[in-house]
Amino acid sequence: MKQKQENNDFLIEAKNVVKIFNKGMPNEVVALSDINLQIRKGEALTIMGPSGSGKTTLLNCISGIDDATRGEIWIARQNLQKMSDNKKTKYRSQKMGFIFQSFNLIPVLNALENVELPLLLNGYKPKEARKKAKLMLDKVGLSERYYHKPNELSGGQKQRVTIARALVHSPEVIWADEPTGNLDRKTAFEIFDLMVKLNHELGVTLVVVTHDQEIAEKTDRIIYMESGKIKNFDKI
Amino acid sequence: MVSTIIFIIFGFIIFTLFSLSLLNPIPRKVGVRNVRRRIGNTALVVLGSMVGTALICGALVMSDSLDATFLKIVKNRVGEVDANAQVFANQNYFEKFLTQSEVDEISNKLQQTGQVDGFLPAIYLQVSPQKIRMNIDGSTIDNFFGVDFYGIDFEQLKNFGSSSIQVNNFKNQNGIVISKEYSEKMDLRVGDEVRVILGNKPLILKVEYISDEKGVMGGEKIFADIYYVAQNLNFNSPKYNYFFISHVGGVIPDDYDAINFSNILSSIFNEFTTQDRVMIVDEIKQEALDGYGLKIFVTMFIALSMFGILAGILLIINLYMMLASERKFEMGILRAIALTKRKLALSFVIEGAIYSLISSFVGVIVGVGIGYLITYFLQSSFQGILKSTNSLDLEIVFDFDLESLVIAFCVGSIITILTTLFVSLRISNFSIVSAIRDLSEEKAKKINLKWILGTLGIFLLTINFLTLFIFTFFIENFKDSFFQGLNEQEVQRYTEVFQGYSFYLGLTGALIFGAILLGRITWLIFKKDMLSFYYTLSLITLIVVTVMMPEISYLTKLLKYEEAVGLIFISGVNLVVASAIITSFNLVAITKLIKIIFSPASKLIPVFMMGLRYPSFNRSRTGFTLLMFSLVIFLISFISIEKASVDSLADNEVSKNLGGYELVIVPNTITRELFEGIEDLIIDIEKTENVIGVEKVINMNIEFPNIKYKDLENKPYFGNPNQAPIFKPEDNFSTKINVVSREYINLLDLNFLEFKETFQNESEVWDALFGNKDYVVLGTAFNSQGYGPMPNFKVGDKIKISDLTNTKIVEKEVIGILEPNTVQRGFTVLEYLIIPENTVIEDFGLDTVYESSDAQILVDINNEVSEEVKKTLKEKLSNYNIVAFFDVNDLSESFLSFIKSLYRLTQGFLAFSLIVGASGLAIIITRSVNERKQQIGMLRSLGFQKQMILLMFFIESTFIATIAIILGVAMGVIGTVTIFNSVGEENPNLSIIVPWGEIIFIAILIYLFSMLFALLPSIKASKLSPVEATNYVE
Ligand SMILES: Nc1ncnc2c1ncn2[C@@H]1O[C@H](COP(=O)(O)OP(=O)(O)OP(=O)(O)O)[C@@H](O)[C@H]1O
Ligand SMILES: [Mg+2]
Repeated sequence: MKQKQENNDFLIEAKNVVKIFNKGMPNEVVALSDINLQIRKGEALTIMGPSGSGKTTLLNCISGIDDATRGEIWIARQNLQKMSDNKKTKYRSQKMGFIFQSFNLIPVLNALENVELPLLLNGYKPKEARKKAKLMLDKVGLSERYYHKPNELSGGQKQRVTIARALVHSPEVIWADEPTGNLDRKTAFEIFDLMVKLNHELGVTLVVVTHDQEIAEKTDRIIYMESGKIKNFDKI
Repeated sequence: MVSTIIFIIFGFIIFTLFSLSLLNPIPRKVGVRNVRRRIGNTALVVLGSMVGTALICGALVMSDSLDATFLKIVKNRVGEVDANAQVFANQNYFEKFLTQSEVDEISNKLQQTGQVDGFLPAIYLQVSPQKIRMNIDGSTIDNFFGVDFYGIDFEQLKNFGSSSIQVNNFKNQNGIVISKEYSEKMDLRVGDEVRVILGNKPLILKVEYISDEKGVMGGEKIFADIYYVAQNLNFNSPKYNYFFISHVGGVIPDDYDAINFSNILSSIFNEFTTQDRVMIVDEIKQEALDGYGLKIFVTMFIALSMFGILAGILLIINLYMMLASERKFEMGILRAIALTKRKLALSFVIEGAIYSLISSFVGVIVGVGIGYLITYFLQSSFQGILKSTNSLDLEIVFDFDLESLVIAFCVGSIITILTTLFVSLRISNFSIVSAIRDLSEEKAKKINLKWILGTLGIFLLTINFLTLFIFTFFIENFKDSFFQGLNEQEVQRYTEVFQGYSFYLGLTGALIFGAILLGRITWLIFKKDMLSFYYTLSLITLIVVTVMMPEISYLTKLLKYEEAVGLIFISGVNLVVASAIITSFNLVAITKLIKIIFSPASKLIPVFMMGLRYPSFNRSRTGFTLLMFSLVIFLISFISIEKASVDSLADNEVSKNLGGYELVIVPNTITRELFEGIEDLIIDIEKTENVIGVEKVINMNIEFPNIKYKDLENKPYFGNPNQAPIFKPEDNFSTKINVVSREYINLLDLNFLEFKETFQNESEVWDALFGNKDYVVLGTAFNSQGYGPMPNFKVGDKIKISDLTNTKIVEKEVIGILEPNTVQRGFTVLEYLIIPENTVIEDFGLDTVYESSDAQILVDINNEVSEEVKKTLKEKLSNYNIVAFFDVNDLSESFLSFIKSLYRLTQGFLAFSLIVGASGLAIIITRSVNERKQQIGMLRSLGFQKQMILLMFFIESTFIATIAIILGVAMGVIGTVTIFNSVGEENPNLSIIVPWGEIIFIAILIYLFSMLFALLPSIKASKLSPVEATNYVE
């Protein structure tokens, strides 16, 4: 598993990141306190920790879809906070793939259209996009379900469509919040292996939140979170 | 009555809901919690449902204000006269008047009721006075109109109510009192003389007093001494046919007191009804209201507002459907963990009831505001129109009944609560699984035999209606009790009205239920869902049938009557609803088409995809939005077309009737000298600068010696002075000859309804008329309504006519009949028997012609300097004896002013329904944004730029608004053309003008307006952070 060449180039760097929800209000929550984290290009990283410890929040902040309250986040040597929204968005559409904890799909689009969306956003011709999306769905084992709407898919199937969508445009980094939570162990492993394979072959950076120790073991590094802090680094 | 029912329903619903919520704490808590959970959300729902109530309330307040306005006019006119009673008889009218002793008896009985403080018996006739003093200014066409003429005892008048009129003995026996209004209209001053025909005798009456009292003297009236009148009618002693009655306190039309009072009066006067005499009591204020056509104004207004109100109701339905679909997941969970279907429905209804009560309350306040604003803004423009045309002196009063507010509140609440009930029952019937997974319940799957039989039953029932079987059955079996007390015409009327409605409603029902039935059977047998297809087919059929209205005799028959308002409304709604449903069933196809047509730049493909996908995904929501929007636009197109057409109609009529002549001069022709003097006058006018042409038209009174009034079809109420001049059934039917020249005919654009087959074309008919003294052409009156009874002549008929003294009788053959007139404008030249001048003189001799004719001089002037020419002409005319001088264009203005002010009013209200459309769209988009927050976040994290989200919503709202505008305009044009064609069969002059420029301008305006409204929520959406993607449930 360790044939991958080490790369000291940090793709993502978080410095003293703090996230406070409802700041100054009685229901204030300090979801992240003083987080420092570096992620190398091509690295596969797992974030673990008890429920409510701030994993999702961390993912959102360092991926740039949420703003940190304080601290600095650098992505590919660019200061995230200083990027314009348009630039951030463009960066997301080209270089990132997201898998959220749940409700990932656009309900009015069928499976195929959901997977096509990132391709179309990157300027693919509709025909080309369709072809690629089909291939991707085939890869996640959904060749029978192209034209189903999300509400006609099982939880696991939805999750697989989401994964297909996150991978289809070959992003540089994939943010996955419990991507295999709804799958049986066998499928979970298959899918996760697919993601790790991409990580290995194409050098895609992978940041995963999971509660499954066995899955976590497959990545390069695991960090543990507790009450908004990174408790310890498992392996470096 | 209606308000009581509404109130009872409202009370019942609230009581039921209240007790249910007391008995079921959990649904109550869930419902109340939901209201409080998100204030923004609540505010939005309240705002949306408020609009409906506000429109209802606004319409009612407007109609109250109009009522108050009209009542004020009426009060100004009739003052303290609360009722009148009249004698009607079919034969020997003058012999059926009440005698003095009968009148005394009535007077006593009225005294005994204790409710009457004024009773004034009179002789009432209609006369057409001709003024003898010559003048020019201030005279109008009204010289030719009849005026109410009363013979009263002036001593008794002093005792009538609180009247303070002091008329001392007249200097002359033939002295008269005229009302101020009449004196102004005719420019009559004290000392002036007028000539009237009383009985058969011409009488000269002298104005001795001008009264500006309201009450008995209000309106346009002439009063003479009753003894003098009786004497001239050859009565031996005074007899009476008319009675003014005043109530001690005065009554208000439509009020309980008024009805009660008129019932008391009726019972007293009915005792004097005999076999050949009928006594009829009228609530005079009511009469006055109806008489000015003011009630129709209000009715039309309410009818037109219905479209706006309907749009408001659709908005409410739409909002609650959105609310429900948003709640689907939650409701599924509630069902899964605790609540039964009913309790779940109850929680939603409780929530809805809270919204509806709040929103109805707010809506009522806003509605009053709307009413106030409209009256405020209309005041100036409205008055401008009416003032300029010398018509009603109208000041719009802002006023409302508390009852109207209560009705608006209750109706608004009832609609909203029923909507939530309907929606919640639908939702609570969803299986838990499909609610949680957001699946749409497959309706077709539930179909079993029971459903099919049910639909079959309804289908057959509507078919039954369609074949009118039920109705025929009723008519045949219960005819007597059904039509008790109605005359033949009324029976026919109700039958035709009923048949028309049965046909159309039956057909609508049969088509819809037929589609459902077919859909169910197809599903049962072939397991294929074809419902959309069948609906589409059925509804297209419905549109086609509606458009073919002019060809369907059931419907054209119905359209003759006032009751057709409902049909017009229903068919309009049908067109819009059908087209909106067809569209919403075929949204996928439409979006595909749009994608093909527009093929967006590749970067924008995802934006287009999303923007167009939502509307077709939420089919029913889109359908309702379309419907709401297009109803408003339908109405706008309808009004624009009607306005343009009526305007052009008026112009057509003027040029048709007068051949381009603008001025009409009516010379005094009571003596032969005056008559002969016309020629000098004409020469004088011709010499005037900028006068292009002059034409003389003579009208000669004649009778038909062989035709008596009583022989005519559609007999009038003989002796009813309100409906026709007084004539006796045994009198000969009389009318006029329009004496014309060939040159004048050539100028006119006249069309024949039919002419004798031996002629090739219309000009041959005219050639023949001027070449053969035995021919006659019948004018426009012979087929128009509103001219009273007319003989039913056909081409080829030989008719005998004579002068009024029956000394000379001639026979003529009818060789052509002109097309009827559309608008009663009070001035048409070629209405009656059209005969050339030399023929008439040859037939009757110059003496007779002069004795029994009046004349008009038509003048064509250079329009560019019309005011100057008018001034010079007036100066010249002061040397001649002129009765009237007027500009035809002013005249047509005044005839149209009523219709025009109606347009103003409706347009004012429309502006508000437009806001319903636009704000409805905005509210729906705002809710969509709330509903889709998570999805928008998702799109943003996938790489949708802010502008792309904005564009997505823009495409979505443009899509809906554009389709709605297209549907609304298309159906508006089609519907209006259909209605015009059906109604206008008797109005061939009516050509439909579709003011495309105006309609397109308004459509673009509406579009921009809605986009403006939609912009705010769209911007809000575009500002959502991508992190919303992780906020799953609010
Ligand atoms: N939008 C928000 N507003 C307020 N508090 C929030 C918000 N989002 C998260 N939190 C709080 O921040 C803390 C961290 O939440 P987060 O979702 O990051 O946990 P998590 O580690 O992903 O948990 P899980 O494993 O259950 O998904 C929690 O205590 C949560 O209540
Ligand atoms: Mg989480």
